[in-house]
Amino acid sequence: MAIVGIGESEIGTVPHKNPMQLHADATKAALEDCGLDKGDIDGVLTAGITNPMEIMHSVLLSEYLGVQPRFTTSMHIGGATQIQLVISAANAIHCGMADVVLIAAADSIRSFVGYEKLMGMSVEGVTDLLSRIGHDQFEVPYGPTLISAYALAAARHMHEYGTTREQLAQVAVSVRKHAAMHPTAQKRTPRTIDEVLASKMISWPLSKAMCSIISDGGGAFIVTSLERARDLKKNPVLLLGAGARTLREHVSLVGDLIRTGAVDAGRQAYAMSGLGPKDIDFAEFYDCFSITPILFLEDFGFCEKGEGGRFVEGGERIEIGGEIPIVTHGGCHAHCHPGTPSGIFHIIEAVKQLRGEVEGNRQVKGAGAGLINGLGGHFSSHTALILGTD
Amino acid sequence: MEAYKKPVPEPDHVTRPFWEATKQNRLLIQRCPDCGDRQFFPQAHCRGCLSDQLEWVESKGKGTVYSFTVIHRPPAAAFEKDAPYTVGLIDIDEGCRMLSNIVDVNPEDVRVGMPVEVLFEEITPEISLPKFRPRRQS
Repeated sequence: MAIVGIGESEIGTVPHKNPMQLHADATKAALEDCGLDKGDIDGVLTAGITNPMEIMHSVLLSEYLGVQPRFTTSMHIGGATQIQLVISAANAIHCGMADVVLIAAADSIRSFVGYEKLMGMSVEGVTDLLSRIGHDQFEVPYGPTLISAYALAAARHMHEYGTTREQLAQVAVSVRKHAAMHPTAQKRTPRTIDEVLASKMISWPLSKAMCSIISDGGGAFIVTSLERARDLKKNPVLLLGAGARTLREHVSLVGDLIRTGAVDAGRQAYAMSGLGPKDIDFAEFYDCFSITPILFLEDFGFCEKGEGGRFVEGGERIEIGGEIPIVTHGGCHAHCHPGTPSGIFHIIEAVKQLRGEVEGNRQVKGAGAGLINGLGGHFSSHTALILGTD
Repeated sequence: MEAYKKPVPEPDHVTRPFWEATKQNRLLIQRCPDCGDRQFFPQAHCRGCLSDQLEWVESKGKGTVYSFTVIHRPPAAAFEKDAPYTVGLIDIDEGCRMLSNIVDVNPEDVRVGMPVEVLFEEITPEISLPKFRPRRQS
């Protein structure tokens, strides 16, 4: 199985396009990238969008694109969704239920274009809706936020292992450095640790610059059999391994917040691929908040448990040219974060790295295998994917 | 008295006994007679063995802070006058975890591992919300 075509819409602030247009722009780019025709697509998978009025999203997108898939659905497991869609596509192809599967994800949660259907709800109202997370009776009355779930993990890691806010800030600084090398990233101005620490406190220990940005935009890619992939325009990027584990939805039930389900997802992906951490050339960790790359460096075996904070210190080991470059496109921190769809950019970046087609000095030299992971909810759903060259 | 604007729990057919008890300053958790698991938050089935014969048992309301965060940017306007406020995960001694506010203490004095005890805040005539404060004596 291989990923053959990749495409992105305009990203950042895109007030003139609704989510369906963003999906279609990315899809068109992905088709052009590999030379397939939209008539070749017989599987369509999407992550849906935030707008709760948009039901049967993958069917709506198929209609918009003028394709009639054999295999289609939308899936919602937060930031873990995109890799779960890849797993689903691979299974469908393996079972003969599809030959060419389009995976597309986009949203407009910065400009809220197309959200007029949420009648009477202002942009602030939608933001309130998005940030109201947790159990109606046993969590929401206490005023938690999505960010607070990650802050709870960060505070626990700081307590158990002496991780510091400066180390959290270093993640934001290094990831921003990568975004500064990316031609279309939303936030491209380099930042210092002091600036990150001084940014507005949101949910201690996480300040604003340690959180995801809010964006419009989307991406798409196409999965097909390796046999089919070898006839197309560009070198196929191979699916070498994948894994997934879902724990609990509510943060109060997840249990251990700093030894995450990524351990198990990673174990599966390593076993399937026959690779280990030493074979991985770069890691597109799901960086929704600055604590997560620190946890994932540990949970995927790039350092011992508890060493993640010290591992990122100074940034050299996690930046391009370092031991294990992470989030090489700038990720949720700086490249593009339209909510659930944002994980699609981590996969697209990995494909670019493995093809060796990344612009300028952002290219990881000799990239032969890359790890991507996904995280949905509040440490709830974990996915891992290993991609490699043919 | 100013009207309470923050979200108020709405008891349902499963959780009503819990909210009846908090009005009497009692904290209830569920115990499964079939597998012995204790669980919070409550639901109709045991998350350990799917038994639907769960019983209510009283917690002593003592626990320790597993982790906490100080929220400066609240999820909704109604929380703004409280900010910064502390949200914590409390491991209660009977073996369950609860998300709650840690009150009666400056946010900067809260620590992971701090012993805490429950208190009940009457937010409406129908609902008393269990919260936690540093334990006064061990």
